[in-house]
Amino acid sequence: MLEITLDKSKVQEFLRLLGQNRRLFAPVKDRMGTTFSEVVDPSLVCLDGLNTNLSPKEVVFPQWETLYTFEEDQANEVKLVAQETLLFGARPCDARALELLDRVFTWERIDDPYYLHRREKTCVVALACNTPGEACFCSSVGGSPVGEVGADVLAFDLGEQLYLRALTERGEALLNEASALTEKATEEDKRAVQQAAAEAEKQLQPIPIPKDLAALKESFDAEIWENLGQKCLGCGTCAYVCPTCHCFDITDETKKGVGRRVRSWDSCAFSLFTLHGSGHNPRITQAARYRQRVLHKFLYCPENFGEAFCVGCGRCITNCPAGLDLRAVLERLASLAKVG
Amino acid sequence: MNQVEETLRQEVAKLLEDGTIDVFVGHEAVSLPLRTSPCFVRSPKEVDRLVWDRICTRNLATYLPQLFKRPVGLKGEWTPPKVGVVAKGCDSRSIVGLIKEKQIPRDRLFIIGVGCEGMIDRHSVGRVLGVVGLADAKVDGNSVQVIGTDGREKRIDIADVLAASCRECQHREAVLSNLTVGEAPSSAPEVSHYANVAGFELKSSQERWEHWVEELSRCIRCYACRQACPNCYCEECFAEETAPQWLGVTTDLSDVFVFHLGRAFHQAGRCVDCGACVAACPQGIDLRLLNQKINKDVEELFEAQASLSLEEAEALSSFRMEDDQSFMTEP
Amino acid sequence: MVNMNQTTNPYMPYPVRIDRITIENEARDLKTFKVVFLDPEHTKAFHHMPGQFAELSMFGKGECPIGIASSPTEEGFLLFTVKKTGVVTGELHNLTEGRVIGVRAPLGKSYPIDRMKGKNVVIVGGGFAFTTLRALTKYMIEAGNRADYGEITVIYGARSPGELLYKEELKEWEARDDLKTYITVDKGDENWKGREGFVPAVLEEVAPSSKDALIAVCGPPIMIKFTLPVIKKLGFAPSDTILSLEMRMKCGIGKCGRCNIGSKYVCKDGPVFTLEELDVLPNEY
Repeated sequence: MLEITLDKSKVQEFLRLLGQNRRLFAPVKDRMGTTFSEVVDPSLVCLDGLNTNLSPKEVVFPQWETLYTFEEDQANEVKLVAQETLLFGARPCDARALELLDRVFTWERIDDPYYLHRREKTCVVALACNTPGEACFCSSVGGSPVGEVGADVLAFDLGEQLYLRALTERGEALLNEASALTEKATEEDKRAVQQAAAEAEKQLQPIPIPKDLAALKESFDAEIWENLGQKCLGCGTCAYVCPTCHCFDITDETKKGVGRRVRSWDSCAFSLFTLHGSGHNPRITQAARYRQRVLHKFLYCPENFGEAFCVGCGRCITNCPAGLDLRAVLERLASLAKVG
Repeated sequence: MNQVEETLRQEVAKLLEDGTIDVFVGHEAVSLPLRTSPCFVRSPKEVDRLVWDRICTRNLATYLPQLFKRPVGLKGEWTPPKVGVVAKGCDSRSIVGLIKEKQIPRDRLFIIGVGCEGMIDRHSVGRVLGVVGLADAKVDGNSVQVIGTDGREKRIDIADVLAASCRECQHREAVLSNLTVGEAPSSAPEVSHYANVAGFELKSSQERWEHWVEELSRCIRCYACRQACPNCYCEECFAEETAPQWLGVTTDLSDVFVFHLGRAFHQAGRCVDCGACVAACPQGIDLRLLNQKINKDVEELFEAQASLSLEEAEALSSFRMEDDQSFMTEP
Repeated sequence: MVNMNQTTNPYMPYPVRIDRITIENEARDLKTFKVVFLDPEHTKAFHHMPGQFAELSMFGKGECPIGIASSPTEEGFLLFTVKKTGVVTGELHNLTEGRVIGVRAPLGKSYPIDRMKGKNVVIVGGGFAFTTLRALTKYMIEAGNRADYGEITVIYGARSPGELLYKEELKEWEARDDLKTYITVDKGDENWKGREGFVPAVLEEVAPSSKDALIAVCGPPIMIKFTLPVIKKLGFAPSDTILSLEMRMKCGIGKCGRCNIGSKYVCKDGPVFTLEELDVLPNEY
């Protein structure tokens, strides 16, 4: 497939061209470093940050959206019309996360039209990492700083220029739109990419991940959860910044009989998440809730989808107000497996 | 390790050994620089986990009420533990507030007060580094040596990256304690109290509105601010009630406003300006400004600051004949 | 099983009209709602199996997951027996006949009918959890299905006579000779001439044979707690012991992440589970 290079001085023009009939989502500078944002002025795009503070999952799974509206007893569908969207500069972890989210939202052949209508219109240009971020561990959970899963195009920052490799037909069509600005990648370019990839992968220190599912199951009653539960504040930060977390709430908003049913992000760490109408709560302690977070990602999802729902982006670690470090938890769980 | 940290560990070991306390709540190091995590030390052998430095921003009072709650499913006799905690000025004021609101018992609490000249705000350090991440940092006297993920080193004056609440802090020592460790802190500089609020009040209402739209549109409704705040201990927050449903759960701007304004009002007369909410917010929203405004109003109307002593009545849960009534007569 | 929702939007409910409301108990907090699809095409296309549930929609308040109490053999309508518990069920209880609500159904896995064919079936229910067991019982004894099953035993109890659901139907069942029906109450009143005793005790007394039999049990947690040991004592294998669970739900289709027990979602992998399936799941419900 197509392999091209783009002079960095032309990136803005490139984005302006491709953004003509598309919504553009890209990293921009933010008081927290960088974050993904809808961008109208490509001069604001910043590709020098490491991982963004918030993940780009909002592009396909917004913090909230209207499922349908109603008036008295009549429910009215909302038109699901997504615009063509270019998600530019997502890191390979974030792109891989989209592929994992795809599985949930089409699980058991029940398609979630709200997620899919956006996902189908989103072209993902992933930007490979040259250096790991503050808490990155993608290679330990099946990912890679130069991974291609979930992306239509994979880009490399080679200093003076970007190298872009089409991965899908959609990606190739996208790059062809900007052919006037780009050059065919030379053998030298390709060698530079290989070197950059090797360099990037070398910099990631592997961390122990509990992979023995039977042992993880045994850990359900381990003391570790009590200790962690004491620290966990029970906020939604980790779930919200996580690119693979997909739990949501459905609530109604109404005024004098007219209103809408919306879904919005939710977190299993919240105390009321599993509270029954009867007053019974199967996860009544923060320990139980924290355990659910970790086991869902590293035990239940592997059981259901064959893979852990963690792409190693490290955002939960850098953002946790209680200073909880998932890597330390995973190391502890992996060591429990060895002992047990 | 510094002297305060060493003394703290020794004192805690003694308290655990002689049974004065069953558990000590403090800070411990984590792998990421400039941060700590709360730790619960139950044995003298574990006291080396405790740290004390210019990075202990967290308000540990948040973690106290849960220790005095009967563990779920426990049958039979249970006596609440005796709990020790290390407290800065702000932490100790929160503790005073929680005692007076009957969330924690004074007689089962052993407070080790430590003087504090302000904690480092890691978001400020982040802003100095820009888009480059923080790879490592080391506190060294009055400065912090940081190394970015690009390998470049920088020495930053702690004074330049102090948490905003620390900059204006007037209560550097614990207001309530059983024991004090470390030297008394130097006196707080004469900062014009609520200077940022006074400056903000001068803006036009349109400017103020635009500021809050910009700040609060960053909110993702994660409730980190609420969970980190020692005063927010309600088992069901007004934001989550369904009968009646006071506000929506989304980031629709009107709901975000109602949540933050509602929470700020629930803090009226109680907020000690510890800055835990700002430190917890993953989006770096300056929530303090709201609370500071209300604190300023309370101070002007009732000549009171929150939770300074166990004996004094709190402004909004007590009444004096001389209380200002202008809000009724001249709203 | 056919899910009408699969080709369209699985979050959109189908409109149904409340055709009839029956107050089931003296406390008046248990009502059975007979609903009819507004669109006759939906009535034709809809098909469910006993054990499945629906998310009932009260627009402006929310949805609640309720077991379908009617059997597929009862054509043209659906029955839901709902206890008034909170905001959403409270709203439903305020509605009158003729009002329109939404239904998203059929959801979840049904009772293992195929495994029950040719076998004896024991049905044990308590309180207002009897709803889907009504659907199961009626399915087995109606519309020419009876011959597919061996002996059918129904044991159903409530706290008091006033709390028994489907009182008329129970009388009909007691009169049948192709069905063994044991109705009990924890405590009778001056008019009650029937049996008194907790459901687990009645089960132990009736002692249905576990040979070539499956047992389906549904009830409040306390009843389940005391009934399971009796079931074990009677010799029913965990794979032949069928339970139906409750859990807080929202989407009902395995996406919102709320109702899981371990890797299983009560909405899509349940609500019907065998004891064997539950035994490998974490003890978190």
